[in-house]
Amino acid sequence: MRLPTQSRKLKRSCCINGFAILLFFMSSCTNLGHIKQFTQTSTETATFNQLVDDYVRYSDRVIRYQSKSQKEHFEKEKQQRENQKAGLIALHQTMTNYMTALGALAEDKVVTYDAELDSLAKTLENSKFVKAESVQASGSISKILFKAYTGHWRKDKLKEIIVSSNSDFQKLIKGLKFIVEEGFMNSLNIEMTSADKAFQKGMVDFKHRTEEKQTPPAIALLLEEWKYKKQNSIETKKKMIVHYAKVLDKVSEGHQNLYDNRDDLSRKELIEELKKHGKDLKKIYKSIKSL
Amino acid sequence: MKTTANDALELSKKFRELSVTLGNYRFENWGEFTAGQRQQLEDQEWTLLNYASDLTTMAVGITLDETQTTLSKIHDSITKAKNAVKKLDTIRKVINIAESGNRLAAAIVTKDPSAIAKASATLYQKATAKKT
Repeated sequence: MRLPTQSRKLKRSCCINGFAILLFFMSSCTNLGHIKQFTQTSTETATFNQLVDDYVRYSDRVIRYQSKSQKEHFEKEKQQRENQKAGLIALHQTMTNYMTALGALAEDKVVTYDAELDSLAKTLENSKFVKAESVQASGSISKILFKAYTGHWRKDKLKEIIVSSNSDFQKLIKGLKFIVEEGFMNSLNIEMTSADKAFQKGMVDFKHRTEEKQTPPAIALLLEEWKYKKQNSIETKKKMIVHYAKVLDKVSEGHQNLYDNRDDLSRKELIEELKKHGKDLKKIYKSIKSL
Repeated sequence: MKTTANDALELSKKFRELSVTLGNYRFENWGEFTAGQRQQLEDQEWTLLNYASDLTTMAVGITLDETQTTLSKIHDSITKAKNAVKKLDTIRKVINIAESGNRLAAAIVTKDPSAIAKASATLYQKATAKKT
């Protein structure tokens, strides 16, 4: 039976309006997956813990090169660095905890919701009251509404947190970078100087003990071999510091990008920037692993 | 005047450089010194170097102290973000309950006993679940 023209027009109009509403909500859905991905790649901890352990154990290594009269100094210094350890770990941990929390907020956990909704939709289908297509459509609209609502809310919260913490977060990264790039690096330079003094003393001492005024070749070889190994070990640690500082730079830049784009966290340019930082971070981690 | 982390680090670098210079002098003129003089000079070098490492530890300590206020502020942000995630979970739970309620209503309308039983069970589950 044909519907009267007015009724058909009304039905078409309802369909168009419904479609427009659906499109509106679909366009309101927010994808913040790029933030989640970026925060995930920013939270590697092993390298920093290794650097801290090495910094704390400095005295145990260097005491061997010096006279016993310096023992008291090393005990005191070791204790001071041991006391700093928890604070150092907390500094890095705060950075990773913050990034993890940002990532969790940006994460679209609607998948769990989908599964729940699908099982409920089956109950409705079984009721034989409404057609299956309608159930699916109703479910889809609910999902979109849910996404749109939580998406906006999530975006607002993210913005609020990013804005309120950017300045402190940048200070934290700057502090961490100073500690690692300057403090830990300087500590390694002092360690190398200590080792070098011990090496030179050995070479010169042996040289002046012989009639030929020359360090015996076997002893020179052993000392040089030892110095080479020591140098290599310190160079590896220095490279680790350089890489870790690069990680901090990337995390800092990424957070600054988020802050600069706080009014549009789904902006295409931001997505590209964060993806690039994520790729760079993966490359840096790969370089650290190859050390 | 308060010592900054940068000041401590710069001083540390200077002390290390001085220790290196003295060491080079000692090694280059080894034969010119008596054993006692050499030991005296060496001790001075080590003392300088140990001051350098003390100052490095001090620079790290100053930076740690300076970041304490920053740390507590970031901890607040972490709490805010975690609470926001909790709220999202609650919204999710509320929507699930609402959806289950609708299913139950639909089942009641159809007067389908099995659907009513299933929907009631689901609604009860959702309403009493701690986390969805």
